[in-house]
Amino acid sequence: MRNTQIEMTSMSKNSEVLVKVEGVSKKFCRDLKRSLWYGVKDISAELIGSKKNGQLRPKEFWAVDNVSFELHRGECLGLIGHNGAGKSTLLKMLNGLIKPDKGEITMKGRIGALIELGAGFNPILTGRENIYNNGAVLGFSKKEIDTKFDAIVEFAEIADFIDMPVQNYSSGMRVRLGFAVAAQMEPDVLIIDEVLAVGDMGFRIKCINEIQRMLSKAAVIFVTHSMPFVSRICNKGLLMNHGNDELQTDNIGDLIERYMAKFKTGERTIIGEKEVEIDNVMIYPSNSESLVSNSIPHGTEVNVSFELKVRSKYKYYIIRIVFFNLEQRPVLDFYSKQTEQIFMNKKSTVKMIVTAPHLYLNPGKYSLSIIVITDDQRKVLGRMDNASEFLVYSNYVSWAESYQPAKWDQVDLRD
Amino acid sequence: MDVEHRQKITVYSADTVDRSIISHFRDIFRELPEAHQLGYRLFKRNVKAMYRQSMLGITWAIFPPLITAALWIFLRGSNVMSFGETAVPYPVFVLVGTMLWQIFSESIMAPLKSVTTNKAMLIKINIPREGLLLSGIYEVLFNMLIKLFLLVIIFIAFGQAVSISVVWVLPGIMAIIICGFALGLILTPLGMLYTDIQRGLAVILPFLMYLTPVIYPRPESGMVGLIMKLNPMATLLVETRNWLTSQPIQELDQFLIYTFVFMAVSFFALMIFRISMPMIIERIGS
Repeated sequence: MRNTQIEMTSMSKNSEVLVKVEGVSKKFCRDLKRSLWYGVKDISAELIGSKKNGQLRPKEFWAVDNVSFELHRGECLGLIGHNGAGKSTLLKMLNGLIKPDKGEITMKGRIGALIELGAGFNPILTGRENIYNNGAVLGFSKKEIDTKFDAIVEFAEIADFIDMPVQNYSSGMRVRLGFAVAAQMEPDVLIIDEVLAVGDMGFRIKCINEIQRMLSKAAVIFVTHSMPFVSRICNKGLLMNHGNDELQTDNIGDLIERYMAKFKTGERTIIGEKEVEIDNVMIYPSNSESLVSNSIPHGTEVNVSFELKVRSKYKYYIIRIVFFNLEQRPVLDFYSKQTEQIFMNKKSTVKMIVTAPHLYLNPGKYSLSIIVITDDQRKVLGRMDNASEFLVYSNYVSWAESYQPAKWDQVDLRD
Repeated sequence: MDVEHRQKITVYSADTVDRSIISHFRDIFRELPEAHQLGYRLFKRNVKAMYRQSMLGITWAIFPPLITAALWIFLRGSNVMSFGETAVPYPVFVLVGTMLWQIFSESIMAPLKSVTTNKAMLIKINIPREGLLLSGIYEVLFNMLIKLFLLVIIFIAFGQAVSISVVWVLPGIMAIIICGFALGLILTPLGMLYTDIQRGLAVILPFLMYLTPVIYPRPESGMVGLIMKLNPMATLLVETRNWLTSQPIQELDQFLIYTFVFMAVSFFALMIFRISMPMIIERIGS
């Protein structure tokens, strides 16, 4: 995967620039009534041909502030940032829906956007009719749709329902039909806004493959909150923050790390009957001098340490440490019973040091929970969520939850 | 085709002030085939959807003028109202009048209506926006054909003869549509920002009908006569009705002047529409 990405990048460096964004800014107004009135004023000013001064008026702010970048054919820019960072506004300018207040956008070739699937559908009409409606909205002629019709129906997997009104379709079927029409575009510049989080698993895989097919022939701008998609599809990244381009890089690992670092994992919470006290939770690389650093290089030996006091009458207990990613999915589990480790309850505070020889988690931000259980596993004595948080970093980002080095042998089969 | 597309360069810049009016119109005409393609498809979609979920179907296109006409035939017949003799039988006179007025009021509502009903698409997808206007016009023309068909039946029923002047009816109706479209389009940018415009039109249009000689013959003198002189729709409607019912033409020169004025207004409004759309989407787009 890595190699193909590098190859694509170096290849595309030679090819033409398809997207050029130069110092683009856009202001927005927080107040609706005022915003509408500014709209009237702007239109009048434009009509009589007076120059804009580019200053902020009361209640205005820069939604996009002086952003520049270039994209070649074959490059895919991951546009990420928290909600309200200006991604959608930038995307609307690229799509020609709104005009920049400053700067200039130049694009070469056909521009396609995967932003709203199934636009132009009328629920009363059949799937067949709506393919033509949606196609017309995307700029296809009737003839073009005629030739692509069978491919669309096949891709959407709805041949049996093609003459049924779209209002009787399931939402998944509607999305499939919308995507199947949009996938017929052959753009030079493709703009994608978080449309992949729909449909069932099988169709999502189909969509990703389809987008990757389009990717190779186009310059792509891809807005998403899904870091696995970014690491899978993008070979360039732009992290936006309050309208600014905080980071522009070819290193997707750096990009995702910076993005992840912006989020808080959550409040530390303790569940249980006050039978367990957990304190001073730390996670750090074993070779690290300072114990405060919560950044861990991928693949290194790692320690988790904490102070523990178990007050209950139980004589023995076992411990489990579960790691969660930012989406609160458990991704890794240390379980003392797995290695036949059962601890005696000393009724006083002890320090627990847990060592794992390699931490192979994908770069990103994680939190961990510590769970103390009776040795017969019948009762949870105490549980601390978000006990600590940490970052894993590396140059390479996988779209899987983890990756690890493996030994590879290529064996000749001569005989 | 493909090669041509690859050469196509799109520029979105903050500085468009320097662009001349001519360059805007060149763009409009260059995009016309695309706009037509979209407009025609949307028109077909709307018509199909409208009639598929309706029992009365296309009769809805003629109901409003028919009911208005019926009301006035009744009021006049029972002598509640009287406004002089008409040159042709009053039912024919008032039916033609209300049909023509309906065409005008549909034309004036069309631009704003088609743009607001397709708002969701407009703010998310870069479509040739003039296509929305075209779909509105196509709908007006389609409804007009239904009305003309009904008029033919009425003419036959009343034994109303037509003369050679009937060839002028089509230009007359076109002038009415252009007048409505021009006024409607010039209000569209403001109407997209403020809902007041659409509501206001719905309130004012029926009122305007009574300031136009739709249900009564044009008075030539007095205060009302002066209003009729200033009301362009009075001229357009009266002359078109005269052509249709083989009556002498009264003010051809005024008719032509108004037609050309509204043509010019249409072009002007179209340019405002084109320039203002990105700025409107910025204000109303989510």
